[in-house]
Amino acid sequence: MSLDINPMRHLVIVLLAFVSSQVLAETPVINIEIRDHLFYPAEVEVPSNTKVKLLVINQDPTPEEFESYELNREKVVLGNSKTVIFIGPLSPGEYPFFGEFNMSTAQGKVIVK
Amino acid sequence: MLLDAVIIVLRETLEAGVLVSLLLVVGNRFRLELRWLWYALTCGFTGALVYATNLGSVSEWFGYVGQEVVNASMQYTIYLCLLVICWLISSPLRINPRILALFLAVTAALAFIREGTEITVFFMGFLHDEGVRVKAVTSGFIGLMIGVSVGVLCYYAITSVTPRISRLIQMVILILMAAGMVEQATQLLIQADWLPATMPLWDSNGILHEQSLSGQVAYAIFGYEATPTLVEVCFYISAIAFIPMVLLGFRYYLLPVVTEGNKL
Amino acid sequence: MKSIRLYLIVVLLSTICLVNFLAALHGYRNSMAEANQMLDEQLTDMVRLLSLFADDSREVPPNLYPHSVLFQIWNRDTLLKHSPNAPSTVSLPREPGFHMSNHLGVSWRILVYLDEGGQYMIIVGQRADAYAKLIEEIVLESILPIIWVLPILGVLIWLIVSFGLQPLKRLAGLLKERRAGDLEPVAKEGYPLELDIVVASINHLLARLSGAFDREKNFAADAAHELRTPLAALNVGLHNLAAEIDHKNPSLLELQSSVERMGHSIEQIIALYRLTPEKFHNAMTLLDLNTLAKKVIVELYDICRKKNQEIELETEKISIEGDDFAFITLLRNLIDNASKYTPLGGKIFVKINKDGGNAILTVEDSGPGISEAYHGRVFDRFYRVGGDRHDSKVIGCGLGLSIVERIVRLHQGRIELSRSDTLGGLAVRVILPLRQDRAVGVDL
Repeated sequence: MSLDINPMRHLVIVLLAFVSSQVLAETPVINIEIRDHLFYPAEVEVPSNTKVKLLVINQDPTPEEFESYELNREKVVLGNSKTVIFIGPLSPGEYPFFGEFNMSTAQGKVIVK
Repeated sequence: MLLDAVIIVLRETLEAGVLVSLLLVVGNRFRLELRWLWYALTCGFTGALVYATNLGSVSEWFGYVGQEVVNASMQYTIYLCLLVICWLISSPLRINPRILALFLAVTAALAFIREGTEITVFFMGFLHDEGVRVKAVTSGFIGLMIGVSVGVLCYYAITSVTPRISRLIQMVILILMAAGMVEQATQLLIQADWLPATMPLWDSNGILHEQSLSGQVAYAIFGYEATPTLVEVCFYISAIAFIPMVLLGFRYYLLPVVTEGNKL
Repeated sequence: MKSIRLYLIVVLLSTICLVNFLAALHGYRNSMAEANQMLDEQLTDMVRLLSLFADDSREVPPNLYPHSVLFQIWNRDTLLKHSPNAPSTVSLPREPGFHMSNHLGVSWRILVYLDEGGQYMIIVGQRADAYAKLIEEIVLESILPIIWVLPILGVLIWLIVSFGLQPLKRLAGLLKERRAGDLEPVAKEGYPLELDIVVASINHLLARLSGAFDREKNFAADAAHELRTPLAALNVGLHNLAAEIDHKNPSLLELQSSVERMGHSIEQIIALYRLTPEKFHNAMTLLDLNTLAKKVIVELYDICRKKNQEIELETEKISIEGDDFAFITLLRNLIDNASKYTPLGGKIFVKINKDGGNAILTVEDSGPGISEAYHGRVFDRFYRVGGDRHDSKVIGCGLGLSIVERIVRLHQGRIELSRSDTLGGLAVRVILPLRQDRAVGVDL
């Protein structure tokens, strides 16, 4: 039984920290558009140690999948629709992302400063 | 385009392939007919098609995080099904093969829906384009064959050892895959901002890159994550610990009560 | 593992698939990385070339850059020169180093170079998608044959595996089609190393089994033979005893009956032994069935007369291929049986006729007959209808009909039991082919 208690306590602490950070700062929103299987802008700058809401708008008629190994994010965006992806908090560095359905062209990165 | 299709199909079929091969081993162990797999395939593909065509409206649920929530709940359900399967196959009581077949079918069907949806969405986007279709199908075929091959080899690898070791391996992989499901679902809920996001605890990409093929296999088998956050690690460990706890708890606390009750 | 063949085919195909496609994927990634490196080197060269034009009033000759290349040359914030397809604004990245950037609806690989003084900035870009497409086409070309070849590989593997498993299949077939009584060793030649041990073990087992069988068979026959001599002595003793004491003495009669029964059993066991397929040497001769029947009836006439039974023979002249001793035993057993189970004053009817290529021997009696429920069992060795409580007080050991059945089978005939239409008792119909077909094996 003791196995389960420790993670739970951690979780509670994390949850509290999370709630307080929610109250303190409004989540910044960043728009990324997909046109002709390309990301606009291809390079996105975000502040470090902050949670960011990416609003991905797909202008193409074909679906796309926003994917990033470095960010651990993966989400399908249907044609002519939009979706929301939360990322961060992140430490400074570069985090490439790509459109999995058009990997060779649809590439971009999140630059955390 | 080529690699995209290969990778997409491969990533999805790899996980389903390993899971289904494991379920097949379990089914064969209890001499189940293959009917459950056909039901699961039918339901899985129908489900994937229905889900893919309605993905647009699902995506808009809960403030554009419907996809994450639906996928996560499917994966949590798979976890619960795997928990029940673990319990059924390790229970000293005589189990009803139909119940086991039912849970195998539900697990496989959910896995097919989850993995099939992304493939369906991907290919539906190219249906109208004659030139790309051939390329897409070719690439998809390669990905599918790699996934299926890994599944087949897994199946024979698990069945090639002595029954005792095979049972142990089955149980361990079942638990790891179940925990992997929880880990993935947890990540989805973090992405949807339903669970708190924190800094990653570590980065093991240097040891085993998540993007590499072995990383993908590790991801398929035990939900390998190179940069997990605290919440994910907690959920993962709890998910792993919970199954043996339930099994042992049943065997040492509930079973005596049940058999005692039967005697009376 | 349910089937070795299936296992080999599936596992081999899967492995080939996996290895081939992984190699192809690996190749794709490597080509991609190499191409990117080439692209970067090309961009570096381009920068070096363009730097010559930076502080120069000359225009860059258009033949130096193809359509898939763009460039900008800046002097701090002033755009000095740019290619026609490059923007005249600062929309391209300006951090020194390599970038991916979108321009004119396609993605470009961009190199930003700032000279040491920080005065001139050269931005060169090359279309990335065209490159990717080219590599993709090359890789696809090399992968497609692997896919086409898969079904052929499947068939080839199927054939090779089937061929490889042929000796195993042959051995299995040999063992499966083997008759139950056949304990001959399996031919050792033509098996691969792995099966040699199996064949040797099987042969070893067969030899031991055959020896055990022989000992068992010989034991019964030898025992019966050995009993003949003391039995003869016993008969002489009985005969003498009958002369010395009252020959109506009940104990003596009982003793005589028992000795007779014992003699009968011994003769039957010896007959049965002589008629096993191993001992039956197919000493086939042409026999006159008609004469044989008469001979047997004469032999048994005394017994019938004692019971006041009437025996009738209806026959035509028939020559049949067969064993002399076996046929006499067959006829004797059938007629003796009929006499035994027919009450005093009953009737026995023996008929021999020809029907096509078969001789048909019918023995009918006016006895109680055998209920149809027992028809299947009366041929079993030592089986008597009613078991130990066998009602008729007659000598018998339950071997008679099983010997008959064995003889009929040895001669490739068949036997039918029914109720006699004319006499009401048992009717035994034996159908025997006139000519023996040597090719047909006899399986007992």
